[in-house]
Amino acid sequence: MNGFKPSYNTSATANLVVALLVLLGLLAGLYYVLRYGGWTMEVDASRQAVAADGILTTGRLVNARAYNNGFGYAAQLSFVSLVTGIDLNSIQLSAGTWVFVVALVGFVTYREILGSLFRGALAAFLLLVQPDFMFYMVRGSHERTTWTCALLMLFFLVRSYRFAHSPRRLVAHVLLFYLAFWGMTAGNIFFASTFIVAIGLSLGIGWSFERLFLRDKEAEQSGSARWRRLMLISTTCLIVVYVFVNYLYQPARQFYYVLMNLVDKLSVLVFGAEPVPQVVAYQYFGSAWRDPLAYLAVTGMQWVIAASSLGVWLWLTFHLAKLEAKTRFLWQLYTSFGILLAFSLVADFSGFLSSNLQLRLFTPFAMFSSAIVAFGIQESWPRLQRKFKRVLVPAVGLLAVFAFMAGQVKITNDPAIANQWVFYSPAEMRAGQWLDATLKNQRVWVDISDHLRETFYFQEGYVENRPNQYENKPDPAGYPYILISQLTQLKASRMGISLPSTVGYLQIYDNGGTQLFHRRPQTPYQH
Amino acid sequence: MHFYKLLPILLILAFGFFEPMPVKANATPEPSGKPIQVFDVMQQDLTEDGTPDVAIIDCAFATDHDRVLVYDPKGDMPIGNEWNKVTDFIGDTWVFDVGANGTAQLIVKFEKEGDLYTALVYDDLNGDGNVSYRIEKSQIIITESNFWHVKVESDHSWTKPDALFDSKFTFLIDGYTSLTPGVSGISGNDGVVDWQIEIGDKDRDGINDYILCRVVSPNLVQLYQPSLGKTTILAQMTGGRPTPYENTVFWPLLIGKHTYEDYRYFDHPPMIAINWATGSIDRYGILGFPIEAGYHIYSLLPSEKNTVNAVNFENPMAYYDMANDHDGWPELQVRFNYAVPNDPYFPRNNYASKIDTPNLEAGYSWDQNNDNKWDYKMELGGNYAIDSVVYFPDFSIKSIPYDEIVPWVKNKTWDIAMLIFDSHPSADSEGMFGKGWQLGRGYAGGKSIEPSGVNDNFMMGLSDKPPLENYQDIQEFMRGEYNFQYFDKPKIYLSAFDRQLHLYSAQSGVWNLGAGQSIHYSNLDGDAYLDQWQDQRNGIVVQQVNYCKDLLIYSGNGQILLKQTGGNPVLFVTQPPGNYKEWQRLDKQLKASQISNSPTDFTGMIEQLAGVEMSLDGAKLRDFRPISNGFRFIMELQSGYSFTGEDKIGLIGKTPGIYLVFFDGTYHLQPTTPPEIEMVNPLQFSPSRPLTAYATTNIQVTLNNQGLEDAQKVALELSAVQAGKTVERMDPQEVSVMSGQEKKAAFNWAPPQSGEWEIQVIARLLDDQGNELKRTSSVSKVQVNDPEQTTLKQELSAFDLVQPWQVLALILAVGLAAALTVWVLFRSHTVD
Repeated sequence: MNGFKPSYNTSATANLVVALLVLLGLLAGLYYVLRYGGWTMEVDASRQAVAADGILTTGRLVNARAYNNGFGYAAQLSFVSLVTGIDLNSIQLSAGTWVFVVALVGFVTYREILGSLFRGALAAFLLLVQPDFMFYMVRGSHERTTWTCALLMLFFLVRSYRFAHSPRRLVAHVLLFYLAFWGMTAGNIFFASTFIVAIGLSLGIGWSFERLFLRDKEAEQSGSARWRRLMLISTTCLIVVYVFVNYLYQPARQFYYVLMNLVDKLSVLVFGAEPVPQVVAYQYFGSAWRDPLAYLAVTGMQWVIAASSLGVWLWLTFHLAKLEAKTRFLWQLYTSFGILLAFSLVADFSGFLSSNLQLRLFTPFAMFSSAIVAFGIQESWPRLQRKFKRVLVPAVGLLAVFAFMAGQVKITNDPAIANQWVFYSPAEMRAGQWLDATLKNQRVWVDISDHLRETFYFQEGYVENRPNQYENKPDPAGYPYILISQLTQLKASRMGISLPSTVGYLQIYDNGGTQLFHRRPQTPYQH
Repeated sequence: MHFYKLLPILLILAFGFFEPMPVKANATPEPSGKPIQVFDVMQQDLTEDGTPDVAIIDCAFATDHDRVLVYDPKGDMPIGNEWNKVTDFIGDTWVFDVGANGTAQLIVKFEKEGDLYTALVYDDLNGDGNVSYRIEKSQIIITESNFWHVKVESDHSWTKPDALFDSKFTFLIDGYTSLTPGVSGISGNDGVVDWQIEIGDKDRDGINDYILCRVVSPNLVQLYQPSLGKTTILAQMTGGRPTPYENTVFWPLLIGKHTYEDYRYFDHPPMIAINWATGSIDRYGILGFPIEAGYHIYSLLPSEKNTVNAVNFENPMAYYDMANDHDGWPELQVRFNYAVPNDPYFPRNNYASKIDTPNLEAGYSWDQNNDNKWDYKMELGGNYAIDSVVYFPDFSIKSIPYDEIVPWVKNKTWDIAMLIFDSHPSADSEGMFGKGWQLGRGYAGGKSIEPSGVNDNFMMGLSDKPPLENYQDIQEFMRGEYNFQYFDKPKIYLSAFDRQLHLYSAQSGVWNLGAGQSIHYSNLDGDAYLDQWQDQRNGIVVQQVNYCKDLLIYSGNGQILLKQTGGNPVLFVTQPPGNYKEWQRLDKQLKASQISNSPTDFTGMIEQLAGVEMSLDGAKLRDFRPISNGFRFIMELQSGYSFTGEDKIGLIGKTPGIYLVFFDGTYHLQPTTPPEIEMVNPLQFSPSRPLTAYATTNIQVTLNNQGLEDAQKVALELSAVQAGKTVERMDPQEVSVMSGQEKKAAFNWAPPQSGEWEIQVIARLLDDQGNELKRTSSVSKVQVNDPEQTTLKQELSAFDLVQPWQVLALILAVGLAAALTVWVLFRSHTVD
């Protein structure tokens, strides 16, 4: 086994690796921002932008459009807008470029955990190559900062063990750890609670292992101190979660009321399950992609990484006793998130949670699978034959490059392969503006998903009472207006979805790319 | 009763405002706990300063021997042995020890804050039956909680004569009891006041006459909770003085837990009732429900002081002593169920808060024979906003002033109207509420259907048709009639035929007589009066009466009876009574026209009307319906039929058989022919062909009936078949096709794929039991085109948002950076 004393290479190579990771993050973010010329919008980006606009407009974190699970990202957006004078929408639309920060933080964290520059950089690269992780980093969601904070927490936690005999530095790291946790909590309280539950679970796994397999008294003593500290951390963080929900940020209490059974409530806290109008992830898969093979082609690398990580984990499991503390800690965290992920998948498929909960644990799992695979590569590298390496290096290199490029296609839901597009057209935006200017308090069906609705809300910004209600329910019987754009029609055709019938409706607006239909009133109550 | 409806009631009960109405009022309140006896009063000097600090009152207020310790931290306790001379309610702290066992079941700290007299009430919060505390010198330190549970404020001393009537009281509640639905985990005892109850004098006559109860903690104000009444107002209009409780426990507001069923609000003064067995507060505020003359408001919306508040839901619930008998029970009750525009709690579906149309349901119940049970109710619906303002001393609400409610209801034109009659009436504290129809509650399949779809959907424009299916039945012994396109002031009429009060302009109705028997009413010609009565046993018509062109046509028991009445089918039309005079007049009119016939004695009812009669024995009638200037029906003459009276139909010489009878001033008789259903080809497509895959098209089918008999039931089925195997079946429809008329039916279909499809239509003529009598079908071929597809250029350019080369350049840049990174990574490994 390699030692855990860091062997940071401070040479030009190290600087180059860091620069390239930054460049890669920047370009990936830039690709997301520019792929559709800035005409990109999705649900989280819209809601966070509106929440941020609410903070700027009302001067209050808690406002009519506040994000229930946390104010951190919205506050960050509004702060940047205030400081720079740039309008919120522009900041939000270009926020994907900040992904280089994730790359950097990932690198330093992995370097700290894995103990070498190569492993750190490789793990960071493996993280960036996973499209289902990157999607949450480039889009305008709190998750970019939430998971950055999670990585920072790990960094400060692992690094702090180096300073057990240096109280000042230890205290500084402890404080920074809690600051990072606070950042995570403020961004999304339930992701934070899930993360802490996972750390708590990993603590239990590690403690059990040491009790069962370690006989070394000295190790046991040092281990006990570490377990005590982890337990203290978990408890303190859960107290922070409790205080945040019950005393600091009132909207977070919504989950008390929205979710009626205890299992659901616990799932929100433990698994980071997110209340959604309708769970779509798995059945959605079939219709969201033009061809399942294309989907597999653009996401293949992340499944290879996930599968490889499982292999490395198995190998590590049989060599646990020989592992050093940090590697064992990584193994514990991977195991913990793996268990939660497996459980969440079972829960989603078996449907024992209510129909409005969606589990999202792949993102944190990817953080640890990348690290564990990087560890595995480094460990297995010396054992490979030279001849094999000569073939393997260019092949894997090419594959990685292709995977990274393909990942961008996946992240942007490119119309070449995806049916759920994240871009919108100027014609749709003009129609939205016309609707808001012309109609008042009307219910308008827009789009087959929530994409166009959120786009309109993004354009509206913060308003306490929205001029109109936009919905995308499959049955628009209650909606007197139906908006159909060329993009909506094409998306629906690709997905084999029938648009609402406009037979008997009056067409009252047409800008070439988008038409609005008004239902002929059948009763005195329909206008 | 639907749970949604129950929760507000539970909540209000939890506040101790009122209880369900018993059968009869009882003017004398039940004793509130055991009579209080004081055995002995002792004093102790805890601080050894020569003045007593605590008075120990041995007494009996909950058990045979209880004790009250009164601590005086001020140090001015006089020496004596009479409790009311050595204690006070300004600064003393009272500890109530049930059973005199050294524990406390209640502690009340009396203080004076500026001009206000206050009482801080601590009860058991942790369920151990005690209020924990300790004594430090003469000071009481309460350890049960850092915060009081209830604080009572008064602008007069507690012992001032009449203080219970004319003082302004405020109850502040921090936390709540388990009776508060849905908020037990939210409104904890945490130092934040959750509820505020104010009792005051609106008309400034020196007697408290209103209560305002509202949530005040931000948690509860912002809480979305459909079962939580955030603003409750109760008001009395009689101006009477409340009767003090007889057995208050030292403090004039303190009483023991007891039954409150006989109280009306404002019968008694404000109080705090303690469950001495558990050491917890049972109720506080004002007890009793409802009132003979007064109103309350129960709103799911919060309210604020010094502003005009919009309040929803039960706004208002008004009670009137229509009989002027002051017996404690109202004879008229008006229950509004109001949704403000964009009401967050209405409609009760996904459109809550999304519709800016207000909605108002008015339930207008009255007790016609003054037996304290509700006989009739008019249920009225309209999308009216309530904009008038009712003022209180330091707040206002958008509501309708009490005196204007009845004329307001009677003078409005209502979109929807129902009349509900209860032949086995019962008492109910909210009018005829517990059973029968409401705007939001129908009855079908032997159970209430709530929400029924009338106000939630139909009146909100969310459905094209009223939910008639939910109003074809009603609870046993009740009669309900409706009109879902009423557009008139509330009116009722007394039928000359059955001598029952009916809804003016009713479209239909049903009287559930129990044991599977019911009378179904119809208004076939669409005028203001019902014109068809069908006596049904388990769904089968056994006899029926039709009224048309001054003719009563009876059929049943193998008999057809035709009677030319010539009289008015209606004895009188009136509005529901709103005051004593109207109530009395209606009573007289009803008594004057009363008949003794049972509701199904149709022939007896016909007999009591004068007119020329023709009677056929051995004949059956069916398919009666009005036509442009008369009516028509199918008559089955059985062998051996006979008739009495003038042969107006022209039966002489007619052999037994089935005949069409139609009347257009004179009778016409001809042998009938069965329904002959034909399909009119071709099918109509909208938009017109060619069709496109996934695009919804509307297919219209036209049927006609060339037979003389009506086709009452025709099942229409439409299916699309491709290549003989892919079958798409549309939802079947059931239509009726009248003789000589056309009927159109439309189906929506979205072809799931392109190609040639066959559209098959089958029309099946059914009998009453659903058995197929005859069928006709047609097949049409249609071509379905592929939907429009995206091109590569469109995909690359995202429909001209960017240039394809820009996208390619970007992705290549990303690839280059990735390649460089991979290369450097492998290189760095060699030096790592």
